[in-house]
Amino acid sequence: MVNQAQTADGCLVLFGTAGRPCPGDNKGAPELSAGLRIFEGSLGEWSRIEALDSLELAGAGHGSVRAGKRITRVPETAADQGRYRGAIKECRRVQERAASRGWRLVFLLEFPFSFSYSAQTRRHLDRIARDLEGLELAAAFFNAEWYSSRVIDALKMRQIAFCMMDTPACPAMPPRIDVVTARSVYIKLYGRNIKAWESGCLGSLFNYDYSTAELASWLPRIEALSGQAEEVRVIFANTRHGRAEENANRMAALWHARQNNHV
Amino acid sequence: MRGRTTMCSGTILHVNAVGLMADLEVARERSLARRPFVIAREDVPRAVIQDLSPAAYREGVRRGMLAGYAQKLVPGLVIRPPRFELYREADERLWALGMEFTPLVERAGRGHLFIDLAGTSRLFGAPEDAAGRLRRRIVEDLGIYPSLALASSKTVSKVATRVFRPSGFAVLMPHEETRLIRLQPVELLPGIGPVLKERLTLLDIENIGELADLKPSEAEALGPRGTELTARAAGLDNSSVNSELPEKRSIRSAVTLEPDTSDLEVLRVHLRRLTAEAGFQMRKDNMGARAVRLDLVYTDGKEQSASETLKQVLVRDAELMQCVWKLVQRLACRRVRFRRVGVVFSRLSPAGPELDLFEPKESKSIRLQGALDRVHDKYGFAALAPGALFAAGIGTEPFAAQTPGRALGYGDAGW
Repeated sequence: MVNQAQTADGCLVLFGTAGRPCPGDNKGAPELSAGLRIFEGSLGEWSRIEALDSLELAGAGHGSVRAGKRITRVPETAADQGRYRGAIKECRRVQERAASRGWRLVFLLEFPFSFSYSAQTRRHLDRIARDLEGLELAAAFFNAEWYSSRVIDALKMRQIAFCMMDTPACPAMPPRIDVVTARSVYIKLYGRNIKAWESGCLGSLFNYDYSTAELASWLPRIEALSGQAEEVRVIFANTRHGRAEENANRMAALWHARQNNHV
Repeated sequence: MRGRTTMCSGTILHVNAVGLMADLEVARERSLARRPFVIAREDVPRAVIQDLSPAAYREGVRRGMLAGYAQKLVPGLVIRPPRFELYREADERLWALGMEFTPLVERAGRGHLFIDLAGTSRLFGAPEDAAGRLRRRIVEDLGIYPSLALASSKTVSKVATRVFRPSGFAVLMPHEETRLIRLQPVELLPGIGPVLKERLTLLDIENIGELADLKPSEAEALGPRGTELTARAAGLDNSSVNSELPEKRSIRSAVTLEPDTSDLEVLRVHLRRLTAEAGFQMRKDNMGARAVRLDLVYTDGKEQSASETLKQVLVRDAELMQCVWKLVQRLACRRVRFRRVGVVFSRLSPAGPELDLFEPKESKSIRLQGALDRVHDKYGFAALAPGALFAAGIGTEPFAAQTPGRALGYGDAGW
């Protein structure tokens, strides 16, 4: 079994996992399929870089890194500004290193709920887009205020992928939408542990096991998205107890079965 | 489903196939997918762009622009001739696909549908699943990717498809609806055209939320529909999905002038023709209009509309034309030539005979209108036309050829 497949339209669909601290820390999780392991050899090397929170593993030659808080928070002091500039430089170095090895990286900018829609945050987002120009970017907004046509149009203009998120249906969460703003589509599944999300219990936030029906409900959406993009990355962030890996493998299997049935 | 079972989305689905013509061309010729191309007639000297690809839009090309000008703007721009029969069939198929899910399907112009999925969950699952399934059917059958949005009202679902266009998919829970539409630019709200948008800009109203927050007295100052618009902006819309055929709801007729003209007499002749043709269609169903709208497109691409809602039902050509001409006088104040003109008769009501104790004074004109309609019905519309048309050099057959997309009930063809 592989975790990536090409659709009839030529779109590459990749299934991966997010935020694993180190390769040996499986804690009894099921083994990853071959394609999911590609970055493990260099994981330590990446994790030393302060600009990045974590790696998102998604198949041979394709991966992504989640930009750290130094980038996704608005710098308020001079020291913050210095850290921000340093983080941007590190991102560029990471990109150069990945490019020299023939890897295609996407930088995920994951903006927290506190990153609300204001003139200041808009300016900051624009600054990030300019500073990281030339890099492939994806933006995930936890604050629903960013779900507006102006933002969508601006992301399209800058070729930044609007990250689609699978989260519990809490009132504070953004709506469920599918939209393609760049040549890549980024989907991140955080788990639907509604109690943890409502209580803010960080320990069990990502402790969720997707049912097969829940995973299958994504397949037609991925199919529709793959018709409009060159690449779709589906990343599981429900990392507790190795569920992300198991869910990614299961979804890849469902996807392959669906594609084979269509053929 | 775990987790999501606590909340349900609305049941009104809006399908918005914006750029339907261009999408259908791409579906049939994949090589066009990333190229700038437009759809326009090549056999007329001043061909107007009817539809365009997203790549052409990014290059600054717009609908209504002259194809020749667009070619100068974008060297290498591909021009495809319109295939109206293909687009009409696709529109029919889109409607038929919606009808597979529920009979409550409203046609809201070409490529636009409102579908009420209430009560279909036993057959097709939750509304969001049914919407997903419909989306897949559309892709499989037509090869196009329209925007779909599920909400609890027509207004909200329409705003959502405009936000996540051209191929988005949005499922809104009731608590998400107001929050989402409040943040959107005010021009995305249905009913806000360029004129009202300008007025709102002067009032410093940019978002739908700011419009929703207006006091009733302030809303009235916006115009006769101000109160209704503020209610819509607040997400309040009780209108139900109207599955009646659009030709029963409105009748429209439009023509692209060849060449553009600023002569009001030429415009009057064209309008007489459009009014007569649309009026004939209306009377065939024994209907009359309570609302008349005039649409004008100028040479510079600017569009203007004016409408009049009446207490009485207008049936005869003469009274319809009188109303249309009143609208022309209200609108035509720009010193720019007209490129396209159209009339829309709506709020159709049964046009029964006027019950009067004495013979009405306009009985002669009523009899004349009846006689004209009988001739048109028997020998076709080209058989009998007002002499003014021939005097102006506008025959009846060429006229019909100029308006291939004007088929009645064909929605918003270009409007």
